[in-house]
Amino acid sequence: MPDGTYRCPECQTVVIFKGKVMNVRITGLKGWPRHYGCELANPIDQIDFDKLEKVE
Amino acid sequence: MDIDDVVARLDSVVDVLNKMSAALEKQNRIALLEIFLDQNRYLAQKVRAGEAYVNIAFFFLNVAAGVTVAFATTNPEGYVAMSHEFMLDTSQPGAFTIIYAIDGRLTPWLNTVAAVPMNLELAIMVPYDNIVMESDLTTVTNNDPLQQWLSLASIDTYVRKEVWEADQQDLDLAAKEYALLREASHA
Repeated sequence: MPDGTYRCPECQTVVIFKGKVMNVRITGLKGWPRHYGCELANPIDQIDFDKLEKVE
Repeated sequence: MDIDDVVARLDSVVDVLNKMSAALEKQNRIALLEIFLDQNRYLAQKVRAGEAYVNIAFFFLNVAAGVTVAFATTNPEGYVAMSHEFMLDTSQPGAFTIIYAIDGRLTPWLNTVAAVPMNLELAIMVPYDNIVMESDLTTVTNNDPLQQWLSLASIDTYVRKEVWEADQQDLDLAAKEYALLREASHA
């Protein structure tokens, strides 16, 4: 599981991954997942990071 | 019975009626303040006035073994958030640790190393004590050796920040007046 900051290209939600911890940042209305089929909503060991944008 | 006796008796009747009227007025005032100090009724009034809106937030997470997911949520700009109902379900009672903080402070009512399914009526249990001014942080950890799911729903009302800041002063005054009236009516 790669450490780093990733963004969903569809909902633009940013998640910081570090080890076995996912830090999700949500602004505005609460709720998760942000949209149906969001890659970020998968369990951390099943996320396809190639489908996410790496944030530098 | 002369006229003075009649006048004296009438005066005493008027005196009793005045006391009854004052007592009724006090009871009415207490009843009004009880409504104002009820968070659900306060929020209903704000929604009706167009100063607030309700959102039901649903969270559904599949969490791998040993993984922690932390949600840092910032309010819509210009709004404060009040949660009034909170519902939690899990695939495995006791598997999740949950930590909840409002505006950087841990809350006393949602911190557990072994969460179980529950429904909380926050507006009744802790009225006006679950107000998110800027942001909150919900952290869940799956302690189970297997993947588990957790679902969480909370009914929140977003109140315009300037409205809430003005109303807070009125609520403080109402709470003081209510306490004084209740004290006086028991004396």
